[in-house]
Amino acid sequence: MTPTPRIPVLVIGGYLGAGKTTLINNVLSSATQRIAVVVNDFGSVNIDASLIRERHNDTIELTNGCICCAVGESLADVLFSILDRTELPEVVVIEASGVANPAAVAAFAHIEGFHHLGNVVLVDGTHALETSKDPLVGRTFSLQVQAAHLLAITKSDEATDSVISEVRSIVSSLAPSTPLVLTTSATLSSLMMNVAPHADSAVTATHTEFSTTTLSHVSAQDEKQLFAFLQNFPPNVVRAKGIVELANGDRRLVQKVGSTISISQTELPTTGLVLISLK
Amino acid sequence: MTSTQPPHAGDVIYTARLIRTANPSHPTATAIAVRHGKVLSVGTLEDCQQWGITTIDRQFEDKVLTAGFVEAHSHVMTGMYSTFPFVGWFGRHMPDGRWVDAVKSTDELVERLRTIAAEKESGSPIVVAGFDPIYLDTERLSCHHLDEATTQHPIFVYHASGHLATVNSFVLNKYDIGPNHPAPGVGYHGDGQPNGELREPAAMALARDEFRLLGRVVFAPETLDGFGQTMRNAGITTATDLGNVFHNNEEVLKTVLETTEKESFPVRMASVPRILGGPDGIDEMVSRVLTARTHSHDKMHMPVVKMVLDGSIQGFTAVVNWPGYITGEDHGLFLFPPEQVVDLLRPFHQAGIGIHCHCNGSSTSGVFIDAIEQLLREHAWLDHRHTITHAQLITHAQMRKAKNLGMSANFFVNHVWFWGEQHRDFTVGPDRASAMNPCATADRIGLQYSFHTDSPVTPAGHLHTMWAAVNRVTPHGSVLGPNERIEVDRAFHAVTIDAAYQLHMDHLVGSLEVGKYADMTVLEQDPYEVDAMAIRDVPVWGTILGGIPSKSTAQR
Repeated sequence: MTPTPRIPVLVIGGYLGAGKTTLINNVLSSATQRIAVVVNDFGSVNIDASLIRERHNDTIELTNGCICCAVGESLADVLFSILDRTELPEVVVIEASGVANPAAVAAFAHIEGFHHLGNVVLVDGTHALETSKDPLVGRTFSLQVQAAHLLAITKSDEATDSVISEVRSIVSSLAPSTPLVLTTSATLSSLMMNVAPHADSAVTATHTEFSTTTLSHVSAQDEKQLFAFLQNFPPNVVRAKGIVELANGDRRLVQKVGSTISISQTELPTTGLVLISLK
Repeated sequence: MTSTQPPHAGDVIYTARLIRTANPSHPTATAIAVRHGKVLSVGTLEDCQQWGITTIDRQFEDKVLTAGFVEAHSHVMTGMYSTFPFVGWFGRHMPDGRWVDAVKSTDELVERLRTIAAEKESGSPIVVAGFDPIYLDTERLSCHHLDEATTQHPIFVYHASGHLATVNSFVLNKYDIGPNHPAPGVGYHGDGQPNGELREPAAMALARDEFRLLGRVVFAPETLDGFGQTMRNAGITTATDLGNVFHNNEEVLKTVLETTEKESFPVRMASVPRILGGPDGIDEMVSRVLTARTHSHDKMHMPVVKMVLDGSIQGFTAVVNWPGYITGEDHGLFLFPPEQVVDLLRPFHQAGIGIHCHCNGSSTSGVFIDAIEQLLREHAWLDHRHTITHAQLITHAQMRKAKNLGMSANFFVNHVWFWGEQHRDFTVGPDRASAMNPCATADRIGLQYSFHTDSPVTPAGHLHTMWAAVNRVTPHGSVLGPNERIEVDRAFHAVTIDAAYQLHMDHLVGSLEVGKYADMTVLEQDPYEVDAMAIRDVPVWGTILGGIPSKSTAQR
């Protein structure tokens, strides 16, 4: 095992129009850590000109330490070039294209130097009924939903309750055991990026649909026991993050995104574990 | 006859046994006069001498000259064999003309690798390409076979399909690829140990350094040179790199422009940028393409752009209409959202840039044709020549509509030979397999078309595509779609003037007419005269590019 900590990679998927770019814009504008976002093209990413420090070919560097990369021909090359940087990002967020299978994109997150955090797949509440039945792209839609670890129905305020309930039932029948949330892009961004082990978590401070629990003293014998512990969380725990100490003194960064759990090495001090649950 | 003009330095008349011009006004000739690299006159020696030229080159007097072959869909990666040793099942000419024998077993592969390793410093990577295990009846290649070649070097065997690589234990250890690796695409033995197979680019990229060598080769001048040499050796005078990103990087573009401008670069090149990303980035791409285009020179043109809209039929990723593939429910996947296609293409159409769209499946052809119809309703550009490239499963209704819209098709007719039986038996079944690449129907409908090899997917060379279109035979001897066979003269036009038309280059290349580049393919026999089944065996002497003979280096 390489001693260097691996950079977590989150994949954002969903069919054209589901709100991936809006989410990416939220992630960048509320960044509290060095984030590298990998997007299809820069055009739609809403970067304040005053935030741009430098642009070189397919990379834009921001003054807050974040970078934005256009995927171009090869995702692998983009990830390699991120590793070549002198200041490594703390997390990578990849925006999959509107027709990509997030699982195929996530396959790149296992390149040495990275680890896969999970796939968040957005479902457009206003169009999913048509998309899911479309003869040309219905199958693409199904594969995207089935690749999700966390599903989020977006634009729910623009559709009637009965439509949203129908969308829910289509999505649930495709991916019955995947947690599903109805939320805004800003909340989703906080839920993924700004989970910190403090009671005033950005997620719950302003949003009533989630509740936060902090387990301040978590320890485990070994990774296997830790994994088993995390697996036993109730299904309404849609997000968890924290640094936990093992019996031998090693520490592990633990993350749960929807139905998936990742455990990676870290040198950072223990923090306890924050759990965010759907009320 | 008196001369009306004094001769110029470099003026020359070539005589030949026969010249096929691809110009229906004067389809054949026996002499051609060249001035400043262009056709001055083509006809009899007497016609040519009217210009006062006294230098007569008779070296082709027993050969057949034709309008230079134009390849409208190939790739610079053709030249990767200049860098990575070739280990395929069919023997092949290397860019430098060397003939490399087939690799017919894993033992032979190991032996090749052992020889390569013996000359390499320990630890330096060995990357070989073109391995094609479909035809091997020996044991499936694994890391253990490769370990027999060397345990001191990383070995990366890149398969011909492009979807798979096999690596040795050195590579597995180097990147810590062990049991239960989280990456999908890592192959395992029954005992849970990795077997050395890395499927799809995501898993291949685990072998970081070796995979990066493969990715970078496309930008290497040797690769471009290898591409040019391979094309010249196949008798091609204009070759397309369909779908690159050279326009995105000034240094890369400069290298390409300089390499192709060298006198030794043996082919005229059409460099075609690939559309990537979403609609918001397209305006910028259009301006990059238009800027790059201003640097074009005689041997480097940037006439059109490319979009890739689906996958391959044999990979079951081409999007096909009902009833889909005969073997499963998998009916292919689009690479762009269909409703976005018109937005992605609009800026090119409005800027007057032709579009070649990769459509293997019938659904995909339909989406592209509909998008062009929409663009034409919005913006009347009558001479767009937008081209459905591959167009393998295009339906008759789609062809009628494409014809009415002024579109073209670039058929992948080599498929009939290389995969036709697989299509009949495994992918789309006999109805559609026998109607694939429907040249004769396209003629009945009046749809303009050309042929391509997609080199390196199938070997560069238009005698083979002509042969495939004329005969439509399969390796086991059946004729797949006899009613779609065409005459040799029609096939000849498909690989010359019709291909040039699709590239918006028919005023420059594609036929031997006064004022166009003096680009010719030099053949030892006349493809019209030989037995139809022998067309692909007609020996290629080389080419004449801009009036300068360039002999093939291919060992026969």
